Amino acid sequence: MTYPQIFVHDIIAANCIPAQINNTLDANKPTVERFRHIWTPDLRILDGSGLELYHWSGYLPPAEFAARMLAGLGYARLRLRQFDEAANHYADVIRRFPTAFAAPEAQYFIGVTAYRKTGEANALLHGWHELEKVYPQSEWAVKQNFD
Amino acid sequence: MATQVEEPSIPWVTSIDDAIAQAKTTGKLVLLDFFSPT
Repeated sequence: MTYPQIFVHDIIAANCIPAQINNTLDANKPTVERFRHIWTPDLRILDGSGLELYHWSGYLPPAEFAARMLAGLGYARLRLRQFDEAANHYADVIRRFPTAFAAPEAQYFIGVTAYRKTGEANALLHGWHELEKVYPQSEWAVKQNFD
Repeated sequence: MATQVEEPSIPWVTSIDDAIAQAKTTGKLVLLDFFSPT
């Protein structure tokens, strides 16, 4: 079970209004259709207008879930241009879950967040250099290569 | 005798519109989890 883990609970409690939708209930059909839901597990992060900012599918064990959740929160805050909050979430991924599947993504967006905040190309390159150094085999290391 | 540790419980909201309204008020984000009971 993922949710009873205290560290998962604490991330959700500190950052989210958690909504759980039973997709078998007739009463929830409008929500299922509204979000084009098709398969479980199906997790989304939305802002206060209902706009979807991040999405992932499939079961993850607690530590992977926590890392994915933090990476999702980081991306959501980045898209909202809340750069300091985004940077904090991404740093949390690297500090607490450096071997998680979501860690290379977090490292990629550490660079993007720093660049979007400062406009300094070096901030982006520093983050991406770390990505190439620490996670060279990851999909995100390929994505940062724009040669 | 072993001490029973109570698991933390997440206060799930069951209406997406209520969750969005709460997010707007609090500045938090919504975590939306679709599930099928097993």
